[in-house]
Amino acid sequence: MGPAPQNNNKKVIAGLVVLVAITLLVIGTKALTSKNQSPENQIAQTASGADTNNAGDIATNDTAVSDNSVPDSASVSSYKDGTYTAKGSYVSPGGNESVTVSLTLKDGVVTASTVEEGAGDPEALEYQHDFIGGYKTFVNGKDIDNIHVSRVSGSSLTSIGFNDALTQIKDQAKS
Amino acid sequence: MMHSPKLKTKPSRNEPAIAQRLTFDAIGTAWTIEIYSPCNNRQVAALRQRVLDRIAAYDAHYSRFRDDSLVAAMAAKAGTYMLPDDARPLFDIYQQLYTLSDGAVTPLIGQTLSDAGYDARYSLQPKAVHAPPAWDAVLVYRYPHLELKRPALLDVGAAGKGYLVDIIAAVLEAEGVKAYCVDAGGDMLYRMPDARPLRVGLEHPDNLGQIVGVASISNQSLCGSAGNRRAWGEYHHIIDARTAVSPRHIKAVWVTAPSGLVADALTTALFFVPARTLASVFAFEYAIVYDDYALEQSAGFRADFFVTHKREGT
Repeated sequence: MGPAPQNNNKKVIAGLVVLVAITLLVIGTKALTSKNQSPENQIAQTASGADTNNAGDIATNDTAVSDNSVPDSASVSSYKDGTYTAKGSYVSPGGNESVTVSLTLKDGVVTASTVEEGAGDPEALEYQHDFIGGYKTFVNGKDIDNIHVSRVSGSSLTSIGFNDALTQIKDQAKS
Repeated sequence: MMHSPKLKTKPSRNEPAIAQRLTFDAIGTAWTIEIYSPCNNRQVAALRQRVLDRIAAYDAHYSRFRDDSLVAAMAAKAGTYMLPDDARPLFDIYQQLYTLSDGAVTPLIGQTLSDAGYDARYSLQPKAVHAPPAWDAVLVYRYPHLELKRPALLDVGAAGKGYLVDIIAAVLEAEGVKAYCVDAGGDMLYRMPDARPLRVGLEHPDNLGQIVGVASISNQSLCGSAGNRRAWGEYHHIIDARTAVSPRHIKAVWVTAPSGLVADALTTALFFVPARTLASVFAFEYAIVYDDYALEQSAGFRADFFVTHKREGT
């Protein structure tokens, strides 16, 4: 299933790079927010901060700050409470892809985060799912005859005695 | 392969060539010992006898399915018993797991398993099933002694098979065999001086003709546990000692560890104890398939699973 392993690795690395880049971007946003109260200023400086931090993979980025609550004067946090959103774009082997990350900060702690996948390529989408909280990986079976393995591990392969007994019990249950 | 004719016996590329293969049934499971070191027929016949003798000695101590074992004696009469020379790692790990699992894992589960139908005759007919007593109420363990304050049927099934795999590996090593795989019904220990990996299919918990992934092991043990095969009615071979209920939230668990003892013990423990708790005590890697087929895999568990991705809750 899927592409050759080498290609998989490239895509995984690409996905990791973009997530790291987005994390840096969001951290940059937080740091600047603490110093600059003007929303226009934040966005402008965030954009330049991103250029400095992320050479290469991030082609475009848009950031926005919303739902800013009144800063808690008692808070020792250097970051302002609020929800921060950043959109990162990157070029995967399958074309241009993007991911949107939102973090909610309260007293300097991330209290909520969402990641929206924006990939057009189904395969890129699949890899983004690997990095996005709220997604699970589910196992599928494949016929043993089609896979070259000479041994298996699972439930204990049982002796004839147990299997016979189980068959008898099932037969009794039917009659 | 004797126990599973569906399997391809052709080794995949780069796998070690098999010089000799021993297959037999013992302790209720099918064994395959592959020897990759050069070994002639006369040597392997002698080796086979040593292996069978060693398993027989182990069975005579720890089997709860025979009436002449040490365990059967403990079930009949209270008292202080001298444990066999090999007992310490086994009882030590049971004592650790009892504490870590808050009493869910205990050798005192024997009577509960038997009452549930997993008895010497495989009756598989549940009688009245009760949770076993607490460790301290019955057992005082001070190696080499085990005191039973009252008779109790012990079961070492949570770790005993993996430990026997270690013991048989030691028998092979004592005979000069350095490259081998001892496989007791899917619980295995693999040694290869050049560290070449061995591929192992991970059995689908519900479709026995299928696998859900392929693990790669090298100089370590891989053990698996699933409720699918030794299962009857509402029970399978693992029962929570606190509630006398077989856990259903996990379909299958695999663990890799340096020894079969630890790998086997942790496949059971992971039904009851978070992996991070166990990781503070043991070195191991693991994968869990939950009842909805969701996969949890530790970073160092070397396996390729066949997977799909879905948004949680859909």
